[in-house]
Amino acid sequence: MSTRRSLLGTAALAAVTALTLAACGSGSGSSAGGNGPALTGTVAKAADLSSCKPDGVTLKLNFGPQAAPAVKLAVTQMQQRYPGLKFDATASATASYNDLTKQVVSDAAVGKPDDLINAGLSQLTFWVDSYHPAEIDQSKLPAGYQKQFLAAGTANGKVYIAPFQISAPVLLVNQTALKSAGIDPSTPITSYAELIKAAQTLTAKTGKPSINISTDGLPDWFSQGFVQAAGGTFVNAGGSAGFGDATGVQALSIWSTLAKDKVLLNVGGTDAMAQFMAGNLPFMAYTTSIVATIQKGVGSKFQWMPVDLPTLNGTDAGPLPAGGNGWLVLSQDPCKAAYANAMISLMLSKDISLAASGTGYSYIPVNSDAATELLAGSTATPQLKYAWSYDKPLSVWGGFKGSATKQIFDTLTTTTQQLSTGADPQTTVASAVSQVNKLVGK
Amino acid sequence: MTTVLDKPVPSLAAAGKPIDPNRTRATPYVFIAPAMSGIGLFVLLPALLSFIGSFFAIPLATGANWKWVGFDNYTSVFSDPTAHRAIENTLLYCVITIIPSLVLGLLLALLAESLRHGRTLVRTALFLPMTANLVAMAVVFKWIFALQGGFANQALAWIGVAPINWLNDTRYSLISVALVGVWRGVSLTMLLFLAGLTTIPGAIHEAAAAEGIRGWAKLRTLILPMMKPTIVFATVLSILTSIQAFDQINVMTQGGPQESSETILTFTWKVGFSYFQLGKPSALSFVLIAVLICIGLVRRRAFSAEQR
Amino acid sequence: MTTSPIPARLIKWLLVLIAVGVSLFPFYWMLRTALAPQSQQLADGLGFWPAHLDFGNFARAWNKANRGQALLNGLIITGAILLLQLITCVPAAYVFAKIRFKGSGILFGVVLACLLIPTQATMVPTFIGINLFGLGDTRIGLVLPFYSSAFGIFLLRQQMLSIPDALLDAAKTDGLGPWRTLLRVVVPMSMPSIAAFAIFSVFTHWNDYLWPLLVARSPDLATPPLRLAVFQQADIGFDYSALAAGAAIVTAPILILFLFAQRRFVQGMAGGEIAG
Repeated sequence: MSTRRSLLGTAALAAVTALTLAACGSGSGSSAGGNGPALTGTVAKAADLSSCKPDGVTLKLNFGPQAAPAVKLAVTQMQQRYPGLKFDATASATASYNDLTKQVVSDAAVGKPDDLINAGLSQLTFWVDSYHPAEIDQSKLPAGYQKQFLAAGTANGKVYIAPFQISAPVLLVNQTALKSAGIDPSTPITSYAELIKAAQTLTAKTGKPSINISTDGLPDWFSQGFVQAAGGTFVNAGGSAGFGDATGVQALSIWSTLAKDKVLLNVGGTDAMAQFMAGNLPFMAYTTSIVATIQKGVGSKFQWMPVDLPTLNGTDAGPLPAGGNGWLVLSQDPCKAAYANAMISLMLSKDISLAASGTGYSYIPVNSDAATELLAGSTATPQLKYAWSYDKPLSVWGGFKGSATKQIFDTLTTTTQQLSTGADPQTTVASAVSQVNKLVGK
Repeated sequence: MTTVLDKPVPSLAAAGKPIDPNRTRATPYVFIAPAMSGIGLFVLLPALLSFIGSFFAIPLATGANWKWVGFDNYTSVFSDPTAHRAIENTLLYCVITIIPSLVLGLLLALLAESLRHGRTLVRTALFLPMTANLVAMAVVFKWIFALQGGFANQALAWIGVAPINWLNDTRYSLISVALVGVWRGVSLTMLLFLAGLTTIPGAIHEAAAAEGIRGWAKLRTLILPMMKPTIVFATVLSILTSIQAFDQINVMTQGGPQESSETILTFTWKVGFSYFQLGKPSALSFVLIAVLICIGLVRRRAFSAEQR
Repeated sequence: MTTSPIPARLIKWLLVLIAVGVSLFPFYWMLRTALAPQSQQLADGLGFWPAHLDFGNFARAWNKANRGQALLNGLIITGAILLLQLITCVPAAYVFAKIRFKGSGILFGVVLACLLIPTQATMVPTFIGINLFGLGDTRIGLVLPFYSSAFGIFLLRQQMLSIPDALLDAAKTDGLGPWRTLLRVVVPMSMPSIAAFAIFSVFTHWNDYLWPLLVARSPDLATPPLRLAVFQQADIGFDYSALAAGAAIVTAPILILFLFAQRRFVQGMAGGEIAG
């Protein structure tokens, strides 16, 4: 009994204290302008390297497993070039660009800010809006760097990221499965209609769903790809959602059409990949960077090929968004920023590009010398050749207001998941457009 | 224990009275100070700050300035459909995990208690889920619940039921993560009930046997009333575990698909550490606490009305 | 108890078998996946038994994820938390159980209230606070927030309530001060609940995922559950077998501990009741 009474007393006391403190807080807090995800401190202007001493300098890097082999090589070369320079460079466990951003922000929050980060191209506006990084010095780009990729690292007309690993959305096709269902695998599948027809034939034969377009890993990327390839606009010039028009709705209706036809395998990307590699799933939309992994997983179990992502009408009416990542200097120390810049130049060179876009991760090599060497090499299977030599125009990935990057990603995840259950494209897309516009304040 | 009893126990003159505190007035405070400071610093103070913080916009960065926004965070919680879903899902998750955990836990405890052979072995087997690392087990459950090739669907196929898309169907995702919650929860409640059953004196069982009270009647009139404290304790622990469910959801569904398994904690996590807004999750926490207090009050009233 | 008729006993055993099966199945599935060759994966229609045993998965899990370091971290952090919690909670529980002092009612009310505050409400400010003092990404930052436990005080107090006051008076008559009474009388008599709480604490903090996920930024600080994520990435060819082996490695230490300590645990938890 007494316990209960004292409990109430304590609660009342706590409430009063809280209100008092809250009232005090209002006075001191209102003058502050801290809003949004801004990190403290600003990116340093890089010093002249000749004025810096590498001794006692430690560069802290943040990157996912996809960049690990290249970083390892780059660290060795940097240490040869600048003896005494130290690195804190362990690959993080996640390859997701949203998660990497989250990690960099959390690192800064715990007081261990990163100097050089591997940012997903989808995160470009997030970093530009919240952290104001320096533009890259294009004169420092190494020989052979393919400058057409710089467009994918450009925001507001300024180049902040020189892409390091580049990929494009593709359709992976199990040709053996197609053949056994009576479909000639050499007939190209370029339009939605052709894809749907083939998927229906396959499902009729096997009784199992025959295609997956993952909604958990890269829903924003595929959505943007479908819309732009159909000739639509994903992000309007003013920053609002542009995919609400008839073209956008038709382009995004691919998920719901496949779902209504009961040919869509509605599972996560990881599970779908396992199914594809086991030969249970004939079609899968994914990325060119994964071709090498698939090749290892499939082995000689069946014939397969990556092909261009089918589009609404079978024609490329617009560019696909560039997948991949690039390095961004976040250091608050001028000398560290200078070393980080030197490291970026190194990582875009032929040697490191070979480690970044080889047989581990089949990204499109950003260095043309690396591309030439890879394509001429003995490891160049037809599948890898497709991935390494992908040369269609690629656009910026995303581009909405930076602070809403993850919210928009989550909105599009939900949207594509709704479509994957056969929801009406018209209303689903309209709702997505209004949600995105609310998030970006348009 | 016997070592302290070696000395003869003195007269019971002072029995029933707590130790005279006059001699060492400060001692109790010295004894509780370390523990209370920990609770104060890491539970009470953060909860208080969280409440205050729910009226501010707070960026994640260290030393960043807070900005007073009044009730904006609360308005934003109430107008956000995802927040609504998170609250609904949390309450639904609680209902579909707590009740089965308690009922099954009690049944299994009674069952295990009544065994004459292999009791220890059975108990140990039933306790194991409690020791498991939920992240590790969630990974395993993810395979078990896989649409194609998962064991759950293979088992369904044996009895002629069509496969269920456990993790990617909005109708089943919350149930799937709740099943993992129940799998683990039953193990804990069973342990508590078993411990509670052992405190019932043997004389009670003998008396019941002599009176011919058995089975359901014995459970209802004798065992359950005697176990009331244990039941209350197990309920409180189950509620706490269920409201804070995070590990298996984060691994198995990440709140999806279509937010169908988003709970308050996963949503808090997302808004705080992916959207980098720390004020809104605080507001959400206090909406949850308010809901819990309301439920608690209603329950308490119903309970005391019943007693009267 | 009278002998039940055969069918009743049969049903009882059937129920027991189902319960044990459900309880153990995920553990079996983990081991099966960990021991099955990598080729026998999710998609290939798995059998109930592994095609053949492949212990290489454990080697990969151990090496690739730097598991040794993670286990050591887990051990240090869990051990430090346990030690601190015992040092802080045992005396506090004793005082709340046996000594009446000014404010004891209110203070114990605070303990009960804290028991009911969910993580959601404390996580964010604690994280900011830990960072403010520069303790983010340190072992201290992983341990400090848990140096005391409301649950511990509560659980230990329940059992200490049953210690006869006469015994404590006797100790006083013998000239034992409060510290020595605590160590020589109260602690030995509360051993079952202390053991139960200790095991509970070890379970909780060995398996804790949320707090390390926030605070442990550097890979060499990672605790065992954090390390599991390494094999979950689709992009590195999702090594299910190694993931399962990793899961088994994380689970094993606690499981073994429990097998040894379970009797004490059950005894000790009997004290954990809320009166009224």
